Amino acid sequence: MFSWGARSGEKSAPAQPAALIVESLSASRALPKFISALAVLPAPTLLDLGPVVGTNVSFFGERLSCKMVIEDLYEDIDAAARRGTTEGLAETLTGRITSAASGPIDGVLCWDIFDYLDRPTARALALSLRGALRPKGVLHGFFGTTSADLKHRTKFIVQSETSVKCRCEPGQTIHRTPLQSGEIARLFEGMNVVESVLLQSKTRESLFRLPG
Amino acid sequence: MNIGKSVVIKGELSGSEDLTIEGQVEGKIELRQNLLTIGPNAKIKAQVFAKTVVVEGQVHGNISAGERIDIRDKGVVEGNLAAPRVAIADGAHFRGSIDMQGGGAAKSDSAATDAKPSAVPAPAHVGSVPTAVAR
Repeated sequence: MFSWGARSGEKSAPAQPAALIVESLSASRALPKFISALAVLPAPTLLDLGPVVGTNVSFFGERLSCKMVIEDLYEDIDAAARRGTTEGLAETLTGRITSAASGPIDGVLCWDIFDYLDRPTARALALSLRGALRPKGVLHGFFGTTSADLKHRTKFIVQSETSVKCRCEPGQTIHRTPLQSGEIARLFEGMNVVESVLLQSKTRESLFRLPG
Repeated sequence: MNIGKSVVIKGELSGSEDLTIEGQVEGKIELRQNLLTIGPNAKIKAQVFAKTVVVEGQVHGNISAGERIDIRDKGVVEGNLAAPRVAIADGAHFRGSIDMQGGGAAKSDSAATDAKPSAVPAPAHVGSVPTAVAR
């Protein structure tokens, strides 16, 4: 099973059956820069594509005095997986971004959403997110680098500016064909790569910024 | 005061005492100085204004609170939240925006302007006495 491997010195929960929740702690290199980019703004708007995490709302609310928009796209992806087809998924996801982003967005937390999408859907979503961002807006994401059948969804629980707890919960099985770093860059063409680091968990953490 | 789970209210509900809702409400709820608890059985399709709002059931509509919004672990909210403090428990379902920059109920007029239209049916009855149908 795909999992967020802990770095040396990081705490990790003992191995458990796949049906149970598994947690691990991962260091983040890009999150501090994501927060710094938004902290200079008086009242930024943050778009979170994952399931709501109450402590993240508190964390970003306290750090950034931001407005948060929660648009859980994993629900739609799971629904498509249950149907056994990705037909119409791109339209659903981009429609959600359009309706969620009633005004310009300063920052996007993608988490690992792109691991669950095929190439055309990933391109459509990336284009939609880029279009929703304000100039100098930032986008943060994790990208798996290994081919795998993903049988879980990960909740990312921010512990501090430099650490994220990853909680794996059972979900529909979706095959991940990893995006190469060049593909990730092309996905967000027109945005500058602020940070791109390969974590010990074989996951790439990336931060992009739209030019001013 | 409690509104039981067999009660359906369509219209505007307002008051000046703490209230627990277990039934269904469609329209608008205003308890600007009081605690509103939306119980586990409650299904609300309304704009909500209160001092403090605790959600254990389902809400489709915007919630604005002067002090705090607390969505408990079985709570389901689809709408926008505005309050100085917002707590969302693990396991809760939420989709919408969260604005903690200003007061909630104090800004209720502007919040109402931003409300999702589908959540706000025309009031069936204006005033503190709601239209209630027991099933």
